[in-house]
Amino acid sequence: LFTAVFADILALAPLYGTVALGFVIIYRFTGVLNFAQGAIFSIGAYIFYVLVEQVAIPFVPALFLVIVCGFGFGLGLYATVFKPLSGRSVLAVILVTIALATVVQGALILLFTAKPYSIRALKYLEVTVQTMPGGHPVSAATALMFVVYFVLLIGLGLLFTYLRIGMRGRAAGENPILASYRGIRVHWVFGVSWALAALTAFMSGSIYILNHQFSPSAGEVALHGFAAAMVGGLDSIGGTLLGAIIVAAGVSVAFQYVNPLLSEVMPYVIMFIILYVRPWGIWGSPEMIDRV
Amino acid sequence: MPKHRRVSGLTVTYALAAILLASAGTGAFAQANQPYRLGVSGMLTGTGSSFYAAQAEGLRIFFDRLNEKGGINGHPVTIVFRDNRGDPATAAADAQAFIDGDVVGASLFSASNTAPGFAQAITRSKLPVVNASWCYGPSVPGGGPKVAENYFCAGITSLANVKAFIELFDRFATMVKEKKAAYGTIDVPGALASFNKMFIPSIEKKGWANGGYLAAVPFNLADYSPAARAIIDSGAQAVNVYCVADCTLPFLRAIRAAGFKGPMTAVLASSEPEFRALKDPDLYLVVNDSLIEEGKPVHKAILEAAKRFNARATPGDLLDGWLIGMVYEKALGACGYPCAREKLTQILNSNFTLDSQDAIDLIGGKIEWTATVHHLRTKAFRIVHWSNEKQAFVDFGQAIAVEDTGLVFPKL
Repeated sequence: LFTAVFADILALAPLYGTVALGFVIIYRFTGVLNFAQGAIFSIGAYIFYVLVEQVAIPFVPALFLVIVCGFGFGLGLYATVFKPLSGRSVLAVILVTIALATVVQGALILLFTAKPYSIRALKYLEVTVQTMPGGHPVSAATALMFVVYFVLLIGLGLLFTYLRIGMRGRAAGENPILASYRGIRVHWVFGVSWALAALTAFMSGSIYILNHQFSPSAGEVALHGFAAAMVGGLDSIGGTLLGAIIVAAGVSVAFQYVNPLLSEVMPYVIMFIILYVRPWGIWGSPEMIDRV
Repeated sequence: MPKHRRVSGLTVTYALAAILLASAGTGAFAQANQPYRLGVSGMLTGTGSSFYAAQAEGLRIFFDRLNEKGGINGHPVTIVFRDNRGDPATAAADAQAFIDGDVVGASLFSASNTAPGFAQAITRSKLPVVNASWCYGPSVPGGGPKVAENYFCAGITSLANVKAFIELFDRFATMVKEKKAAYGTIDVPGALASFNKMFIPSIEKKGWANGGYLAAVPFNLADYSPAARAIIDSGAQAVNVYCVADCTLPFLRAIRAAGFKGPMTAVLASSEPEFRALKDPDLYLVVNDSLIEEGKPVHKAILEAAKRFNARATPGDLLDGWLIGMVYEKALGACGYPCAREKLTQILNSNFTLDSQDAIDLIGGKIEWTATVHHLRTKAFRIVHWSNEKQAFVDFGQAIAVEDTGLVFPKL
């Protein structure tokens, strides 16, 4: 049974980790908890579906277009919705993200109805590329999520540590007024953070639906990513890896050993325990906690 | 008082009189066109909603079409939709809103987890309710609704589905090396009861062993692959998944993706194109809409209404709601206008047959509405599976005839 848990972690952790990255980027750059991340995940999934199934674009160009769309969507979202909220309390912005999530879900239902969809044109991505101990197969789509997560993890880690935009983002996130006095174009930095977060959500949504059914409520999976971000530390890119592994292991153990019904609650049980013991998460910064 | 003031006063009086006359006329006109109002609490959005939202759409287009033809007794029918999102507390609040409101009847298009709260409120009132899918009596553990004087159910019971599964597992016996099964069923009281009290004891009697995996599956699992891996590890040779399409489809996909090669069975109750897309010859589907057939008048009528009134589900998915429409059409027609809730309840408690033009070509005969069965007494479930040669679903043997015992679990 342990092999099944291992296979579960391999399948679930990259998904949770990729979604968690979106939460961390926004939080680190802007100090905002973005509850619309799941909704953005769903938008990305539907755009990818339309490109692949209705426009019949092959996988690689479709994924590239989704990345471009994600970046553009994030910038547009910041410019139209969140930039006008500059100077308002963080709580007000968080409430807007919650409202945005509801609006997006309603819009997706209107456009696509509540019925489930699946990607049919890319069945070749469901083939087994590796068999794990215990005979558990790993599909190409699962492997792709794994690769994408680690590319994003390393890329964003480098961006935050070494690139100017990353350092400016951190400065703007910690004290936007002081950062603007120092000549940092705070709105540009915030816009880029929303763009990067939307990009990760669009990518994870697109790859998720390669081997999953999806409907307008697909973004609920992002809530597990939120738990992973909170467990790892909301301001820690590396923490998403640890958080995702812990949450995925919890889900799997609940499923395999306890009761499938518990598996959906398990991420929040873990989140509660970690936040109770260490409110800033395992690899988070204690000084960031007062902003939440 | 100055003259011009008196003139103004007269003008005002005439104006008031004119308004009164006009409003009286409008009122009379309005009364003639006043609608029968029905309430629907449905799982219209959220995970698991595709099946129930389609039922609600079926009812809507039935009455849109009927209203265009003049309604019932010259009165249109309007429906007040409330979205319970599968939440029991919201469904109970919906029931109370309908009781306090001006609807003459109501329906619940939602999973059985929402039924107890809804039914509890309804049974304390005089409001008649016709359920679109399944109804569970007091014998269902976990709190199915107590079927009351004013509470009716006109769908295929999960018990009938489960009886079809039992027969299907007989056919699987020759296809597996060892009679070892695994099951996943939706986590709602009605389905669980039918599964635990009927399906499992029955197939165990037929020599099937539980492969070690029996799970109540929630609607909204983010990922079904852990469940699929548990099934693989259980060593099962055949798998039964019993859920609405929103969880059946991802679960089936995950089981295959996890490497399971044996026969699987599930219900084909909605989202047929998605089931077709699986192209899985070893997936055997119990067809819940075996009541209608492509090309027959009722199928055409649903298809035309769906096009005309903008419903995007397939005729099979819309059928349950459409049938409820036929029940209301019959009962409200007999009730007259205005129709009191008590009188409608009384009519629904009498025996009748759905014999409208729409009902005459239902496969299996007309729907008889009796004290214990509000659907076909004997249902023939087609079993289909994918044919790679024909690139279509084909029948897997004869249809399985099941006697619907309503709410009563037969002795094994």
